[in-house]
Amino acid sequence: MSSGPLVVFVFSIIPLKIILVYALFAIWLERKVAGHMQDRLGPMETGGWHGWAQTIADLLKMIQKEDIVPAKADRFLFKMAPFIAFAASYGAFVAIPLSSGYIGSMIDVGVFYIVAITSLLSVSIIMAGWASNNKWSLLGAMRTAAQTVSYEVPTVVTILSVIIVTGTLNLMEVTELQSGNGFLGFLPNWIIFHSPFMILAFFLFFIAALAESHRVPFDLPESESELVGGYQTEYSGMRWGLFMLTEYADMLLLSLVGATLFFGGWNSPFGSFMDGPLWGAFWMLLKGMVLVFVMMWLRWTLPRLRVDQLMNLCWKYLIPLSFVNLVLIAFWEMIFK
Amino acid sequence: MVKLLNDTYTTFRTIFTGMGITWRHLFTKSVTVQYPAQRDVLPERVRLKLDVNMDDCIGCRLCERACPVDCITIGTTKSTDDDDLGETSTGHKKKLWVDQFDIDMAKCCYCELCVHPCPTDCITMVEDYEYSSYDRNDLILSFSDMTPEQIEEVQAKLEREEEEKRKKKEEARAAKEKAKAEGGKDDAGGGAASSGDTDADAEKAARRAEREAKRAARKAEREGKDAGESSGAAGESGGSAAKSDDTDADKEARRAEREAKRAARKAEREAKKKSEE
Repeated sequence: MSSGPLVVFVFSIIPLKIILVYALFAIWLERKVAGHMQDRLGPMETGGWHGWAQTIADLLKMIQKEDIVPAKADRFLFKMAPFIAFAASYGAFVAIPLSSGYIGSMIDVGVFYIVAITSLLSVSIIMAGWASNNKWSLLGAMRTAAQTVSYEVPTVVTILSVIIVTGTLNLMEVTELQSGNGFLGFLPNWIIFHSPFMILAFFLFFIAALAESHRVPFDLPESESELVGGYQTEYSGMRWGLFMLTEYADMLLLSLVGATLFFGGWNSPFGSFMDGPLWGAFWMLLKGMVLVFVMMWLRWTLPRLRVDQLMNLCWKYLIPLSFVNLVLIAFWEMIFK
Repeated sequence: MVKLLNDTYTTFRTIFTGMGITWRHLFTKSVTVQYPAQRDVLPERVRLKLDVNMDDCIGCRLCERACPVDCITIGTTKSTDDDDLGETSTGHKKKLWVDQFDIDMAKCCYCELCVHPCPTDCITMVEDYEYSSYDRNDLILSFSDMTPEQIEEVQAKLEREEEEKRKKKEEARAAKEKAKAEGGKDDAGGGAASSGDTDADAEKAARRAEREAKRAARKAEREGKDAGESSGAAGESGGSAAKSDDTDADKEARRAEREAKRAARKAEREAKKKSEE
């Protein structure tokens, strides 16, 4: 792609466009899923067909809202926090291969980079909580710190168990390794089918990723029922909207990472059928959306964990299991390869 | 170690059970009623709004009295003898102009106690529940279709009639007194005095005189009896006297109230008229 700066710019913000459109869609989908799982209908009026324009209407409303900064807040940090939050999750998209023809940057330490840059998110949440000068915000921010630090460990360990198999940190290469339809003759060559331990690894990764993206049942930083809104309490208008956007971008990011690491990324599930750069983008986003849907599904299934239960789950179950799993996968690799 | 694996197994099992339940609910029919487009079928005998069929109202005020929250205000004016207000569909004779029938639905507690006493079944609960409003005064339902002019006319007419009746009564009394006085003057010669007239006239006059004398006598008798009785009652029991006093006072109070109300209404109407002008 050797062309003018404009083309480069347009290409470089492809993930942003995807995120923005996806966020509008995902928030609507979340409402519909929530509604139907509770035997309701969700939004039905705005835009005509099943309230498809509801999120757009909400967005327009949010843009018009007054931008309120509390009198005793730290103005600079307060105003910066949402942008850093979104920058952190958007920055991570650069290392994700959206299709065989598109990746933001072919960095060789792609996974490592993603893990590193997403921890900026917790920094921004602590910023928001601290700068708001509000005890609920601060409580939420402190929970975030504890949660992120704890759950980084199982996430990284499960990612590491995939890296043992692939031998590379570059996500494009990880995806390319999974192409073809070799396993058992019909199953695609995805890593999740590589060994039985990989299935457990995926579950562990998914749980840890849920906690990382602060989704229910791990939404303690926000927990609107006990902490008002956690770190979001004092935010209004588009700044709050940016936090919301970050949350959904984060969901998509972790789903895409999960899809790349375990489900073959942009590879078609039918071998060379429906393959190619554009189909690749389709499969990648479809896999990501399925995982996002599962996250929503879990949200309306499970109640929120208590702080001690959260820590208990992480340190007593996820971390030992993921380490044992890592060792077992390493042995499997040694024996069968 | 065993506990860890056991717990892990339980966790996954229960999570999948839960997810199964939510998955099923994702496809069950939702219970939502898309309200303005769809409506629930209302049960029989719902109590949602009061309605009055003014053609049947006889202005008896039973509903007003039954109302525990005093949300019904009724104003009536007697009809004059030359007016025929007709009958209700239940065959009751209408004797009163119902110039005001206001129900304040903001006060109404939907107990339906006003509906049952109605002798003509003209006040009913209807199935209309969409009458919310931005102004509390819009919830006061006025059922009387009489215009202020009509009311004034009717009231003026009544006053005229009452005036006339009073006059007639006075005249009658005056005539009676006169007759009495005359009767006292020529005690036995009533018939003889009018002998100069024609036979028929004389006869009539005689009869009248006789009647009047009789009436006077009856009246005197009654008065005497009343006096005796009242004195006797006073002596008999203080309780019953007090009771009758009570009811009397009650009546008096109610009448006063009604008059005050009517006066207030009149003033209101006049004010409205003025403001309209």
